[in-house]
Amino acid sequence: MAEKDKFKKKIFKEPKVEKPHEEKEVEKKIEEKREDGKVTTQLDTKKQDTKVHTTPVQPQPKVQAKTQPITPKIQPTVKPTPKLITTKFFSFFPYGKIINFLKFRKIAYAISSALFAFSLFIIFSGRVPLSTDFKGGVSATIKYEGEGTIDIGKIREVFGEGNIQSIGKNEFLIKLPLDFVEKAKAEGKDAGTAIIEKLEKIGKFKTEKIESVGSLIGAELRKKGIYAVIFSIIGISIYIVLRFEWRFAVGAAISLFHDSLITLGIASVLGVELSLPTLAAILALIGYSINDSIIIADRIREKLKIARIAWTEDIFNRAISETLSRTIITFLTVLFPTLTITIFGTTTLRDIGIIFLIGLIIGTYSSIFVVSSLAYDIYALQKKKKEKEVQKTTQKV
Amino acid sequence: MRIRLAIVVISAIVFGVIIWWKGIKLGLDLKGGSYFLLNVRQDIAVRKFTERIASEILSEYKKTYGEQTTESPVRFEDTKIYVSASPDFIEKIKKDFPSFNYEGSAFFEDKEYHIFTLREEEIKEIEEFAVNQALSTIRARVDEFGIAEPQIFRYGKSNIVVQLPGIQDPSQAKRIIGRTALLEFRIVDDENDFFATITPEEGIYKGTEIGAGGKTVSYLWVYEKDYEKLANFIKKLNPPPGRIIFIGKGEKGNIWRTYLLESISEITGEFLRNAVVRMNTITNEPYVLISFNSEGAKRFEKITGENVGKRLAIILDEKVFSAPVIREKISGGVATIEGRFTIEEAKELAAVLRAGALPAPVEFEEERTVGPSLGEDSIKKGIIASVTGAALVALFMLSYYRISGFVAMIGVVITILFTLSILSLFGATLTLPGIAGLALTVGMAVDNNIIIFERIREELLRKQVIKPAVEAGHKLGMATIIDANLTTLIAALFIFQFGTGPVRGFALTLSIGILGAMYGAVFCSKAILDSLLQRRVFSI
Repeated sequence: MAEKDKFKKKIFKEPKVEKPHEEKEVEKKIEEKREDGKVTTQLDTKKQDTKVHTTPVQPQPKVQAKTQPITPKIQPTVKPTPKLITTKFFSFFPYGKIINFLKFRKIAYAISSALFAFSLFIIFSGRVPLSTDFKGGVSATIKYEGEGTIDIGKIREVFGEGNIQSIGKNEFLIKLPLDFVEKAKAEGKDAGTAIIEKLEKIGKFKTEKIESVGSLIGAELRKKGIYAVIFSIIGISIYIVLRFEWRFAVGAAISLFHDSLITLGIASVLGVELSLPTLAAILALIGYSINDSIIIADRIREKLKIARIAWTEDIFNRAISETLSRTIITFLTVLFPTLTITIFGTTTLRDIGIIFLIGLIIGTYSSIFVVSSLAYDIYALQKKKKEKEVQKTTQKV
Repeated sequence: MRIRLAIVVISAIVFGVIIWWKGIKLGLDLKGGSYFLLNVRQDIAVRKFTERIASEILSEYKKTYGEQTTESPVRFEDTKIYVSASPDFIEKIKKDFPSFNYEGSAFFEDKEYHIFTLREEEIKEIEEFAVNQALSTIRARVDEFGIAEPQIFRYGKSNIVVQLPGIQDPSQAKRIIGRTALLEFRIVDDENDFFATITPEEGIYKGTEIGAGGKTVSYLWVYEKDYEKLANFIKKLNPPPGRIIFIGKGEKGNIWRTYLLESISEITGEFLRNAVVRMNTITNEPYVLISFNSEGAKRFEKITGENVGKRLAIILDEKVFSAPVIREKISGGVATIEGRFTIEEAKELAAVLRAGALPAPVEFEEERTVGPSLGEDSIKKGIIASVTGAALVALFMLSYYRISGFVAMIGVVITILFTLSILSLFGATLTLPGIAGLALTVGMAVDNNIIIFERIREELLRKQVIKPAVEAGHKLGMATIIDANLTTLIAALFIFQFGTGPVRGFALTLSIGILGAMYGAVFCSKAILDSLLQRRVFSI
């Protein structure tokens, strides 16, 4: 109690101006309404603002947001001055409604494990399509030998978008994946003739130089990249242990692997090539997904602090439900650019879009259904163990 | 309140000015750039390897027979090493250096030399290694100079392709990429007054100086413009066995002069750990301070300890930079390279040394300007997609949070300005995926606002009074935002620290974006929101 008082003193400013009688009453009523002991309001004492508050509090729909769902349309307590726009608002998820998310955790674990196993299979059986960024291929300098000039767009139409650049008048540099070479070889041709034959439709070309090219990312870079990701996940976990709880750190670390690997797995099945930009997209997803999980964890922590009670399913459900509208809205705001990129974008952009679309869904799902559930289950398991021990000792006694 | 608003406005203007002033380079996919085809001199890599083994054999020889050798017992050419020694020693070499084949012996200048030749498969391996090593060194060098989104890949057997986005002046790029940056230390030979016996051509002059032990030694010199003349002249000379002639700048810097050095260098840049630019406070000239790794420090200590009183030439890319007298054994593994550079030159040198020497010199075989790798149509569509995406976010925020949503979008605009301006200071390059990334950043940056706004709504339902609810919403929201952003920031910094190349560039952009969102979407939005609230304009 003493601690609470101190807190109060710190937060509340002593009124500098004598307030009208009515207003004090309003404040008193507001204070009374703070049911959960959350003392965070800072009341304004400036005169011009206080005007707004002078209307007495009207009987309002029950404000106990915690237990009773409130219709979004709320009678504003404060009669606004014309300039002040009311607090009526539309929301996707009614404030105060609580959904029992933890109930679904067994199903979620099953779905996640299946997807995870599936993705691991895809990844380790070498089914992830790699772009020339990772694999290398052939690069050829070709020269147009027909009349006039040729538009680079025509060559792009033949080979698809990708690494086709002009290097001087009628000279082009094209980079093709290994598959192209292998296909040509299977047909008994060398890559050079295969290129020329493909280009026959649009004109006469000559290959000036054709060489195999290495990947943009060598084995060494790849190794370093993997280390970077693992270290960053460890870094995040340490931070969560320090700021939150080790159980959340476990949940978060697992979900990061879960999100990125499942995204990679599903994207591979859809034929999205792993290239530098798509790799960057996966890294960005890790950032998004951890954000989601942290926000829920933060709310759980806040609730536990206030309630000063042990972990219960109810608290977890409340925390997830209360942050749900934020989760939905942020999901939507990221979804918009993701969709436009997927729909309008070509090649790389579309790939980035698809990766993001999958990751967005997986990431949001995992932060709602998996991360905190995992943390809770670890807790529950420990509790059970302890109880058993206690039982044993009591039995002995 | 006014001050905060002023900060918002001024910072937005400052970011805008920085972007306008520094500009943002467009990537290879959007605009093209410079294309270089490099040839790695694998033959020189092989020769260098032979030289190193010869050096090891020589030091082994010195260990066995003592120091007194005026006639060199070990000589080498491209893939061959000639050793003149007892059969025991030859047997030992056969055993210790299996990468060489023993080919028998032959007589040169009345002395029996045993011939060792580098094995074929060893040559192939060295050649392969040279190209791969050159590839990673060039990558490291390009990384040292900002996040340029280059394309660097191996091309055929001995070539490397480097593509850099939108470079107007390729000479700097060529200097940085093409410099071998091979650092060597060799002892100056002041015992043989070799140049005293030479009659120079016209235009080449003879000078004398005081060498090791107070002995007067001669050297040849030319005026600065006549470098080629001197270089050609010394090619015709026959230095004493085990010696080699190098050219370096004279002490005053306006002449080129010769040095007679030991042909085997005992220490090279491969033992380098770091290189930094320092200022000489007396002469006010920059110099490069290098430090060796433990192996290098050991070698440096040994070579300086054994040659007190002699001069040690510091050679960079086969040119002598300076040749200070060794006064005492130098331990600790640091050395300085001085040589009248400008600060820019010193910085370039330090960066190139840090990235490591090329295992062999590279030659520029081709240099071209390349067009964008993406078609106009794709670029247009990509930009439309990104802009539409961002616009949809704005529209959504406006219709969902109304005035507050508008404020949030101002915050997002500031976030983007912040990110772009810092990136332009880093010399970053914007690619099409980068633009799409910015659109996604818009979606994610508003998250900070959404967290706060949702909190405010919750508090409004609870408290029914706007101002306290806004305050509480911010206060509670901030704790969440800090935790969420810090975790992502930690992830980004780890990736930046341990990653390389493009992944690193991405992590940097992400980190800047997070800081930008903290400033734009939290500080700026709050300032504007408060000021509107004071004027009693509010909706959420």
